[in-house]
Amino acid sequence: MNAINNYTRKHKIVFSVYGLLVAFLIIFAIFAKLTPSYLLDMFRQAAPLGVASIAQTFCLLLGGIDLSVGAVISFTNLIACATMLGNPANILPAVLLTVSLSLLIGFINGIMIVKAKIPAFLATLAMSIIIKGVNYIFTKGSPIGSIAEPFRVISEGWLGFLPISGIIWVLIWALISILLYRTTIGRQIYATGGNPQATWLSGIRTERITVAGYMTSSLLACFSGLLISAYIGVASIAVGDSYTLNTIAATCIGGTTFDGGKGGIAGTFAGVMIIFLIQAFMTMMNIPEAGKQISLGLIIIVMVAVNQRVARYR
Amino acid sequence: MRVGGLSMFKGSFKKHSRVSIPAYVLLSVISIAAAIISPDYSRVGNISNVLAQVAPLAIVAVGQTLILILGATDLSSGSVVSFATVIMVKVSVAVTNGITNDSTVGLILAILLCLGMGALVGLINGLGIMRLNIPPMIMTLATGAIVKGIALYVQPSSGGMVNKAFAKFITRKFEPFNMLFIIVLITYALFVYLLAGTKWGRNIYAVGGSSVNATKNGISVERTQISAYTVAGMLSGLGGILLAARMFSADPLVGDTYSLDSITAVIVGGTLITGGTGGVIGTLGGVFLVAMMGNVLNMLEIFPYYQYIIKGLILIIALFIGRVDKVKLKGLFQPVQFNVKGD
Repeated sequence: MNAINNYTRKHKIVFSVYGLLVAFLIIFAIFAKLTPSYLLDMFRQAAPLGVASIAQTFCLLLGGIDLSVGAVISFTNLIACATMLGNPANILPAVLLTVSLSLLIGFINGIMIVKAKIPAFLATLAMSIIIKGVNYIFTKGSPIGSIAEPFRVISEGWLGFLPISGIIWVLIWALISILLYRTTIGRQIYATGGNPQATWLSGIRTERITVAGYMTSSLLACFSGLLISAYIGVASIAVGDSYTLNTIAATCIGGTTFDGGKGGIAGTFAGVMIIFLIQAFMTMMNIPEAGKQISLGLIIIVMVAVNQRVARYR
Repeated sequence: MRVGGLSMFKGSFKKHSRVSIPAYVLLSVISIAAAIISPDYSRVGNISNVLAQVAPLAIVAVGQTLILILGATDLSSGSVVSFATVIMVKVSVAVTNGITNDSTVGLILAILLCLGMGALVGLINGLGIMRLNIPPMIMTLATGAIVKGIALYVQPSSGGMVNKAFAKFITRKFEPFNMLFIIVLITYALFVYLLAGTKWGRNIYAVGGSSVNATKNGISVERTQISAYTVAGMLSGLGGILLAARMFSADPLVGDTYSLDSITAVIVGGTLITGGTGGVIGTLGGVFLVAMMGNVLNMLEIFPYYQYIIKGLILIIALFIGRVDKVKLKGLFQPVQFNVKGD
């Protein structure tokens, strides 16, 4: 019975999120010309945020949070540029290096949370500060290198009328969906997030699940960083900074709660598009950084309040 | 039984100050080591400088201590500090024909506005957490973003000037002390008393320890939480005023590091992240440790960006040590510890 309840509630939120997305699209269409090609281009540009938001959703489902997403994205960008140096032969080593380093970061996050019992947000916040320091020390303040031209295809290329970055986003989304909804591991992730003690007592290795979760999150943040690197083509020291808050906002809008074990990545997709629409709208209306920060904060407060209310009166 | 009085103050003060011993031991070790390594360190000028440098962070950390005792964290304090510096620049001086002049009315208004703004942000935090049921971390993260946005809107980049007379007054020196540090000492004395000697302070400890038990004992959790957040916000505003006076300028992003630095200082000072224990005495030690570290690294001429890494490591180590204490109290051989979600 509880499972059925859970299912319907989850979908109620998801439906309302997509309703919200449609509403935003209509508002957007009133102010700007909304052509299919414009939408597809938006889809292409939203891909990095989309992939990073999947990472954030993962951590929120586990009852934690990953505040190091932004730092990992910047880190990936810097390392990828410095190893590629614009040479196509270096693409594979650069990707392998960034992926393994991000997995290491995720592993340390997980160990801090599971073994040292440090609250997730403080552990990842401390980690993000450390990575930021590494970024500055590594580049000495002036980043070097650039992305090899063939690699930029993953963000700039089009497959027919579909953007390749969008396809990558949807592929990762599909893979993680299968993992979450159709495998034992997925159910174990939900269980760990919902009630770690009961899950542990039922013989599930909650510690492993948590560490693996944070590693996945870091890995996805790295993919997002690679997509951004391919998009901008150069090294930039603070490219990922805004992503931490943006991913949290997108996940909140998508209906994933902060208690863990409730929600899913279906809503996150709409959340990302809504965030992106708002930011595009702000840019169009010539409202700078200030407007983005204020709107993000308001969105987070309103959506979390709504989600908490729905969860309470289920 | 009579509640209150000196005996209550003594008992509570002793109990909650004991946790700060490691911070002060570490502080003295680092100070002695620094004094041996670098003769510059123990100059009166340097000590006076450190005392002035830590002042804004020390004030913000008092507010953060209240919130950590409640078992939460305030991530909006940094933005409040930034916005307060912006308010000081915009309101405390009058600009006529491109020339900035001191304005007494403006100064009073600016100080009131900074404190009021901080209190308002804190009040909104408290209301959101208690009435809308939003987790404290997310609520303060969101209000922090909003306040930062407003600060950026009012003044998109750093610059401007603060009331000259006020800045002079605040940064006055009587070696090795200075006005800033005297303000810090007064604030700390006040909050040592408020936390250990008043009903309000005891309620904060009770709510932080267990809000369920606090409710059962007739303490209004909501009122305690909201008032604590309001006071914490106001203290962040005060920190911003001092920072603006010290910088003699404003920067809408200057406070960004203050949220994390204050949390680090409080945790290093022995206040546990789980709530219910700790106090401002430890926080003062923690603030000095965090500030001293930057000072020592500068003296040793280490590349400044290593500070980030060391800050992060200090936070992690302090959190780990705090957790070891907790395990010792509860028995070392519990298989797994979980945060039981109740209340």
